[in-house]
Amino acid sequence: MFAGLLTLALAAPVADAPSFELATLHTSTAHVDDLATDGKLVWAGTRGGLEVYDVATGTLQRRFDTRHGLDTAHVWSVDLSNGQARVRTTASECVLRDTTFDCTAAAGAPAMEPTVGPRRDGHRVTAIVNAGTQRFEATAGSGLWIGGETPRRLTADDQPCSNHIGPMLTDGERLWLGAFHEGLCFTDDGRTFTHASEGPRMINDLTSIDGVLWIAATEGLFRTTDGITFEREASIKPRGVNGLARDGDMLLVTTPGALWTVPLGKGRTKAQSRPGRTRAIQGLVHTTDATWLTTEDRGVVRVATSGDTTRFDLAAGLPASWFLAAAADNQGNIVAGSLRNGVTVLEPDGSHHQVGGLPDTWIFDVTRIADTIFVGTQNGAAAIQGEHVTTLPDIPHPNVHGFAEYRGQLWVATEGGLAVYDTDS
Amino acid sequence: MLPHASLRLLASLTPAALALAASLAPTLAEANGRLTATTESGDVGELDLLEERLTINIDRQYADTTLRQVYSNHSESRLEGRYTLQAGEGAKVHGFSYWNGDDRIVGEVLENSTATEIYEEVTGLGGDPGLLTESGEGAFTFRVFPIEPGEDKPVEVDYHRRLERSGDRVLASFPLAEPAANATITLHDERGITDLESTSHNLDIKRIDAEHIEVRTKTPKGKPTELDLSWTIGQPAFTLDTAIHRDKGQDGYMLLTLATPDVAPSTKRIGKDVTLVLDISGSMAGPPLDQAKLAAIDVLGRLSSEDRVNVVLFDDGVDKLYNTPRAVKDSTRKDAIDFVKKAHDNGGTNIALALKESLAAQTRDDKPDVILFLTDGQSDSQETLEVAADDKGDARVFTIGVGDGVERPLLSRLASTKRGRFTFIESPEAITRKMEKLYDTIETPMMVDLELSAKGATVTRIYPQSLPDLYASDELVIAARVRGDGPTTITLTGRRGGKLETFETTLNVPKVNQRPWVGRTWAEARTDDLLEEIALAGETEELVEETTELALAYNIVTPYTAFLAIPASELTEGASETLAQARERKSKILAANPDAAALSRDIMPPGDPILSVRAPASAQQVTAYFPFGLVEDLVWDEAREMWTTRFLVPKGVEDGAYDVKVVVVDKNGAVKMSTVPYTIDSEAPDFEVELEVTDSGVRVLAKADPELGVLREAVVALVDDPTVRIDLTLHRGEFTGELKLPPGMHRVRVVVTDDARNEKSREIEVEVK
Repeated sequence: MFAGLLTLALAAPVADAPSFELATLHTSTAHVDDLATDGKLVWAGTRGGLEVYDVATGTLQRRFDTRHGLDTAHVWSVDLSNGQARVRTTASECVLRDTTFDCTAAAGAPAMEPTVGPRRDGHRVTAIVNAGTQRFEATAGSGLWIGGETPRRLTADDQPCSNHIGPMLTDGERLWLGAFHEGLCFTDDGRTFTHASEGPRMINDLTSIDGVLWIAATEGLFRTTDGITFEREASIKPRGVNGLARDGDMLLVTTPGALWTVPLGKGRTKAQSRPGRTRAIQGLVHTTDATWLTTEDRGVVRVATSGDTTRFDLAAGLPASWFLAAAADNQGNIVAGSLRNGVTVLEPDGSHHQVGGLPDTWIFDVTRIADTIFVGTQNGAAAIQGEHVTTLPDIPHPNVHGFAEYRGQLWVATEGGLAVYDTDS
Repeated sequence: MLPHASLRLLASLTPAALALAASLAPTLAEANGRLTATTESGDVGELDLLEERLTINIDRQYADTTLRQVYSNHSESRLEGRYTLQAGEGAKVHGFSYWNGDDRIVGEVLENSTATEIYEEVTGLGGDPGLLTESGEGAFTFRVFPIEPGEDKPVEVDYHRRLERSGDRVLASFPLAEPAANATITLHDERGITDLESTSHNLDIKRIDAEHIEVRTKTPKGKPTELDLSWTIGQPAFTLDTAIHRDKGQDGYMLLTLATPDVAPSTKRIGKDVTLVLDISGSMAGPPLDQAKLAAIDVLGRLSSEDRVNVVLFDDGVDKLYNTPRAVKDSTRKDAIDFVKKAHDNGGTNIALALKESLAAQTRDDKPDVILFLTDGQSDSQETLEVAADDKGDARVFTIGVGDGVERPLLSRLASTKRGRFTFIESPEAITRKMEKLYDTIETPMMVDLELSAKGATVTRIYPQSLPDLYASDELVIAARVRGDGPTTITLTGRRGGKLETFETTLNVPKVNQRPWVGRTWAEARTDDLLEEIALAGETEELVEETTELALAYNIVTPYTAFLAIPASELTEGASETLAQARERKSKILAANPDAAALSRDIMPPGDPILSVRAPASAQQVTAYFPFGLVEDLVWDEAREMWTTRFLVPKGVEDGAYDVKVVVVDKNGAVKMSTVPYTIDSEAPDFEVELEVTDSGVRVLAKADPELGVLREAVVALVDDPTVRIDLTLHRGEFTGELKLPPGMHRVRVVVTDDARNEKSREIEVEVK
């Protein structure tokens, strides 16, 4: 079990690097880019993999994703000519051989020319094929449909709400997922997903305090207790809320131009405008003695409880001033990920060093789970535990945006779906 | 930012000339459309005004003026001119141009990054582009160069203003350089125009019909410095009126007005509780506090025996004269004046505390509570506004800012939240006049607790966001967007004399109506609100993007846009290309407006900008097609009233210029396309740096390699202790500053950043002796 391994690691020096094995992959096939049919089966190229449906019954027969040789789950073209299934993904041409695909590098999707066509369920229809007596309609966002007088949707509706999830939060039995576009969704069993469609859309961070889920979204700061009704926090007027952390009975919130303290009980919201003279805060992490802000323009800004600020940026000798995410490790260090200059560890004495061995220097996310720091990059994910830097295998998409522990497994949010790992191999 | 750099430029280039000019030339207050000039050696030159002509179009109370003047350089010297126009309070310039020979050099509003780049390139080569700046309330200046010996120099300025209404009279005044200037005025008002007269000029009036009049000035009466006009409109007070602008297929713009009558002499005066709150913090030290005390004493002298008075002094603590306001009599008036006179500047500033205690100290009886807050506003904005929002009392807060260091956004927002007014007093000379006007206002409340509602079409994005109380001879002006069409009833309620009154108007919102100034009025109100929000809550990409887009579409000067005029002959190849690209982008915004689509950043490294498209909420589809193969459907954002999405530019996309194609399908199936340009820029800037050791440290100068773009920021820090650092300031295209260092050998690190936030650093050793 994941937690068990880490407990063992605390008791004794770590001898071996942790191992990760992909257990399952969850994707959304709601965005369908192309269809093809051989009369008996309809093949749907989606942003969450390739699905095959039976024409006669409309039931899903097979699904292919990165576990079946595809280099990425985004299939934008399907071709069945010559009796062979041939698909195009964003970087490859892949041919189905028996049950897996062989992929060779090819040009990605061309720049699409704007088109206007019919709509289904409020979404663009991207492709239509006729097979048997049925008309199959592919949509951008509502899956595959059978058209006609009584249209019906074929794509399952219990999938994740997006293939591009960012922040994730385990809250008791529930895992909350914040999508880049589509808003909030959750799972209570790790297999089926529900879209909290009434909530805000572009989610940047999540935190749960005393039964209340707080949501940092581009539209503002929201809260919910049930995932059905949402309330906007009126005291935070600016948009672009991008970071959340708890400090005792206060909620710390960041927008690009300010660090806010929102009382969780009575009291008044306060703001520290442009701390460290930054105009572009990206997120925050809070420790017992300070709040650390990652910024686009001032590096990592340490905000002491007195309000005094210290900048850790290129002028201070760090490799850059553009940092996206940070976490505090169990040694009192701040581990900060930059846009394109890797991960910097800021030590309590003010010194700093770079983390080597990461799959990429373009960083999206830094998350701490127990004693492990996970790093999401633009070329995969890695786990940092003590001296070990372990690249996670079988990542479905190179862009990795978030991590969470849920039901004893490691969930990794990428732009090609949710990868779930066991840490026992 | 560019306008400030320009002001410094003026000061540093020709300080002697300006001083000379100030001593010989008219002062700013008198310089109504004046061109003062200096020679290359710094002497003041002579410019005769040959011709002055005003062309004024007035639709309802919106006056659009073109002022054309021709100056003549009779000297034998080449002159550099400084044109100054005092267009009046509330006036805004939306165009300016001058001529070099037959070439008309037209000013245009550009984004600051573009204007800065062009400006620096041209000035770096010794050129001198025209840069229009706002130099005071309704006052504008720009440079004109060169003015050749013997040349006749035409200059033209376009400005606009909403004219004041007092009762049923409309009052208009237009500054003149010469009393005998020729002016043609076209008036149109469907409410009817009668009794047109002028105190400044004899007029030739040609009445077309009850709603149209054409006027020409004849001879001046005396030596007026303004053209004054007034007329009566056929609309009684307390009439709720509307004006609409709407382009086909788009949401409309609405202007809603309601005027109050003049106060009748027989009107009984109502006593009130007046609390004067005076900021005596350290930031007010010197002239600001002296001026604030003068303003406070002026008010205290106007109070009558029906009023009650209190005075509160504050810095980081609060000192009250009384616990609650006391009846005004000789003794209390004297106590109050003495209390103000002996106040001296002190420590920090806590406006929130002062506001809280002042609000708590009201008597809350039938007497209206008025709090006059005299401050520079330099304090915690959020906390202050929270106190105002939390207070449930009826006290009206009037904020008065005196002097240059005033934090206008906070004071304006505070007054708006508490249904008061913000008064800016620019100089000690203006105190008496402005306080008299303010006090007359406070004396005569006509209607309070106003609320607006609409049935039929949807009215949104309403400015002002809090409706103010109305006083005698006042006019409520509301600008809003309107969605939908057909019969619509607008209702305004308020309390008059303690009783609830309702005013209603029903209109048929048209599908198309051309009244562009209504749209412009809304855009200016929206821009002011955005700038206030940015000042109070910090910049976000979305706020800056919308502000910039509005400013470009409507030629508004903001901190993100600058008004620049450059002769084509002075443009280098690089500057020409930059200008051409900026014009193309602007023309797309103008052509697509109000469908204008914009990215939250248009110069970016790979990252996640937001794409916003202005299209009707009823559109069936808004889809963006990106050059790297991504297709995204945008979603309607109710709060912003725009369609939005965000996207990540993939890491491997090469630097260069790209277009996002946007398709909008409206509810009827009509299709429109637009493109949004953006640039991927991941290349680090390069720069030159010079260090000069001083007595106390090192002076640093950093400037960009012009081949590699424009620098946005620069900082220098001590390598061994990076907390020892300064942010360099931009001046004429160069970043400069002095880093204080003790004697010894030091290693410093200079870091520069460009608009796409690419950085470059350089370490240099220096010895301070």
